[in-house]
Amino acid sequence: MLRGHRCAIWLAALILAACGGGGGSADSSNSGVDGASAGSLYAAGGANVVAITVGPGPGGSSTFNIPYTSVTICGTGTSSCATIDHVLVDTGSTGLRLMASVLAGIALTPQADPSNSANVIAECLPFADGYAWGVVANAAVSIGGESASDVPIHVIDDNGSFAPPVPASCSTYGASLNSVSAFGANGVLGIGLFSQDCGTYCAQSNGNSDWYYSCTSTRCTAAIEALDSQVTNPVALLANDNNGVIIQLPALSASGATTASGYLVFGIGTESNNGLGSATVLTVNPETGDFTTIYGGHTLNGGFIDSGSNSLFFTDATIPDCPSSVGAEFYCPAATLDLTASDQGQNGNTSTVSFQIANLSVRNTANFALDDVGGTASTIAWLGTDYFDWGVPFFYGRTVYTAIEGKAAGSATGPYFAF
Amino acid sequence: MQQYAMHVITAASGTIVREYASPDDRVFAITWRGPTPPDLRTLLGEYFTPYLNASASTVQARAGAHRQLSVAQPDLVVQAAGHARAFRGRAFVPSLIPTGVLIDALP
Repeated sequence: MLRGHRCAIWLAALILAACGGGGGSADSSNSGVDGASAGSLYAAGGANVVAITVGPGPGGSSTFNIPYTSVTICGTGTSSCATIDHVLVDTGSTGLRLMASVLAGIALTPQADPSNSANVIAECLPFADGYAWGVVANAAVSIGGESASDVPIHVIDDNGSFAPPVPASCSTYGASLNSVSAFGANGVLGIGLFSQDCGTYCAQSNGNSDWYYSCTSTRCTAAIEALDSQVTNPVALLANDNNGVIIQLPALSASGATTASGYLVFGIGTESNNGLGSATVLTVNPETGDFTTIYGGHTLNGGFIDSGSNSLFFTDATIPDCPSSVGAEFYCPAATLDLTASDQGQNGNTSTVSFQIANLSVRNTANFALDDVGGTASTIAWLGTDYFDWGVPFFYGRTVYTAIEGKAAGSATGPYFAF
Repeated sequence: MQQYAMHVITAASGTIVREYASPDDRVFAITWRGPTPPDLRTLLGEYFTPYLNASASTVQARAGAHRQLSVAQPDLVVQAAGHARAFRGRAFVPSLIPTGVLIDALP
């Protein structure tokens, strides 16, 4: 620990695996975020199409660039249902998580621990800045015209309805994110690259993953959670259209818009309205979900496309930060900057992305949809210059495909992003 | 004279933690990367509570960005980032950095 003594475990050397894409690349120069030809947005109303809105959050949340949709949830085998609005659409996580406070009256039964049926299963999901904690329950989930009858979901305990104290091995991840205000949303619809949120690590027989717990009414201890019981990407459990999603948000003017309306489309290449077309497929590292972004002369092996980030986040020491009154993590250049980066998949495909970063301090605060927002990646040196978070501004004026691991999707197999 | 020693810990999850210790055996910096964040309470030691106090208010004000967090105080810097299955971060105590060590140049 910091200020402590030497750790007991030594490794003589640490060899970092070489990362990055292969040789020959198919270069496709995309038009930029601004002035992009958005292509035609899907007509609303298809069974596999549901609306997304970027706009004000629940409870008057003022955070910009959060894409929301609505999810209908029912206790399995019951007619106890509710439609939850303002659920964050997140390509950077996996699984449906809803605040307990918005599920009042829905008869959800927590999973029983298969090795001790008197206990229930809870989850501690780590984020970079903290954790979300609550029981795991199976539910019927409907989104637009798509539904799955038995989906393990996470019920985030934002109202103290789950009695056991948060285990120390969970709170060690940092601050509690158990609130509508922490997410600016009533829940998170994680529709990212993976089928389960944790994967084989949490299902290993040696257990102690610190993600899943077996709980009495007073105490929780770390538990093994089988893959098919883990909080699961609802898309992967659809009868059809289960190999991934497409997100489309409209192109915006430089000043943004009060709100933006787009679409979430289920399936890739499974219907007449969800083909890959001419999109460039960037396969990702199957363990991390990242591709390579080349920016400012640096090759960053942590490139990812994330509708759960409200800004582009990347390190460029030449761009001034905003004053703390605006948010010191964001960029406030004197004049709007025209920038370029290159995204490269493990398959060697490359796509050039042009984007703009404007001065956030002069934005119209009535606008919740902003496409020229950037901010500093939080770390530097070997850890930090190695990621580029392509957040919501990347989605404006684009059709973005997220294909789930191991699933054939169009001409390629997930996990991949395409745009 | 070597300015510091680097120790590497690999957790069961595969997350790799590096500790950087000064010649008098004090850890002045840690870094991590891997599929799950490390046990910050243990790694930060006496600095964990100040870290929590600084981050708790920050996360509430940043509803749209749970992929990164930066805490910068005179005697503690914590920078954490990433998404599920790919977390990364570092923490260091500026006053403990040995003379001549460039924190951004640590391997």
